[in-house]
Amino acid sequence: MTEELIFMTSNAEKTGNVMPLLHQIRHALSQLIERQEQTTIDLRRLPLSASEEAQLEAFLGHGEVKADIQALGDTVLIESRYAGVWLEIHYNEDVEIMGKYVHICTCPPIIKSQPEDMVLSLSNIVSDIHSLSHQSSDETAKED
Amino acid sequence: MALPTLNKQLQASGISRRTFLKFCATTASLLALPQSAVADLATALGNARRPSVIWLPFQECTGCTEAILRSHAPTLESLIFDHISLDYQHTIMAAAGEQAEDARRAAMNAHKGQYLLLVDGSVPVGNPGYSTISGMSNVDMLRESAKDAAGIIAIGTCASFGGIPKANPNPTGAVAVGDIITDKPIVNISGCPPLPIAITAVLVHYLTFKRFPDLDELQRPLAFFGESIHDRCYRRPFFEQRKFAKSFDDEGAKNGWCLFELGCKGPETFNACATVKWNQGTSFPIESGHPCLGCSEPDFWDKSSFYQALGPWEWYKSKPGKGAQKHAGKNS
Repeated sequence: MTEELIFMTSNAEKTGNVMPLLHQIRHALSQLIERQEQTTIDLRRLPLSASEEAQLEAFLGHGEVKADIQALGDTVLIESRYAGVWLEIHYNEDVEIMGKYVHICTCPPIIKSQPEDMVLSLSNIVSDIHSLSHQSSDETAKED
Repeated sequence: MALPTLNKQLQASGISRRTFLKFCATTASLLALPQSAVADLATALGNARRPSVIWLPFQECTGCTEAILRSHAPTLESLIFDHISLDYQHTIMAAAGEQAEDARRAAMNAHKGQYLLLVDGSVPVGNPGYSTISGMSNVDMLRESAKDAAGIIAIGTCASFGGIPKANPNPTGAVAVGDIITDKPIVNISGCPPLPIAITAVLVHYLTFKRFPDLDELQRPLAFFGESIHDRCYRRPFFEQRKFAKSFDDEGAKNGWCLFELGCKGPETFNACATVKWNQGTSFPIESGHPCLGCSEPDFWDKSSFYQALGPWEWYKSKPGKGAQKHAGKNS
């Protein structure tokens, strides 16, 4: 199947960068397994034609995880059919691609809850519980 | 008067840390910084004080302002624009005349040595009366505002190189910002108009590292101007195969072949249009079937016809120091 995908594009549209990129991903995955070393490949910094990018995405395919994050535009995170290899695409609110990366890691950083956001969440949850308990007390008083 | 940090500003606006990290990841990518630097970038940028910015529009068509401010909803790349303290921009500010000039001088006094000066449009020196603001010539306003600025960002080809006002016969004696101010750090973000994201990225770099990014010999940020349009053009393989459109409606044009023989200036034009693109990432001129005009280069209007080829293919192929090769080994 790999060969079929590699030769799918016409010569005119080929930069020839797909095969080296796939080897880089393979190497990074073995580094992750052996040394827990994470790698991020920034696809927008690499010369790839549109058809080659599609070819790379088709090669990686979809695995078990897909996450949608709404943060000033969507971010789509897909674990490829190769566990430990993730595709991350950042869009802005106009659905314009702002960044496209291949992460070779156990969990891409953007999916983790951030300490600063958690601190704010704690204060929000305290306030919401407080409001709810007041609301419950008021309702009990009315019933009495 | 200390302005709040970006972290405080973002929190107050309900922007999550995750969103901010997303912004930092995409900006790091644009600035050609490694993704391993994103966490450090977020820390330094988050702790940076909200910058005071004075923006002077001179001899310009407002195309640069339009491109930068845009009319649609705030998006990720405009996050920094939403959080700078834009203390003066007479095209868009509510105040006018002396009231506006008072605001400019008040910002200059309050943030002496710390504010950034943005300039779009060229400066007429042949006859300063061609362009005045509140009775003050552009050249006097530029000198006065630049005196205590931390640095200057010249936005667009007019501010960077004189642009269309400087085209022959240059009736107003138009010059670039860098022709007048020589004792301040200046970064030129050329283009007619310039890529808005390049301005955001330069602001981020300045706030994070307290200096402008690495520049080319024309004072343009290498991260955006280090490669030619031709280097990253999706039609480049056709150039190598000598497959050219000879007219706008021939088979070559219909097949999307290279526009070199139709006058494309992409091989000698340095900018990031081919990767960043325009109109919300839709396309760039070559993708719409038109040759690059070379608008981010000095004197692009006067160089030659937009539809005249740079030269024969064989000559161009053997010409040294073009495209990405031009910058090879620099800044290393």
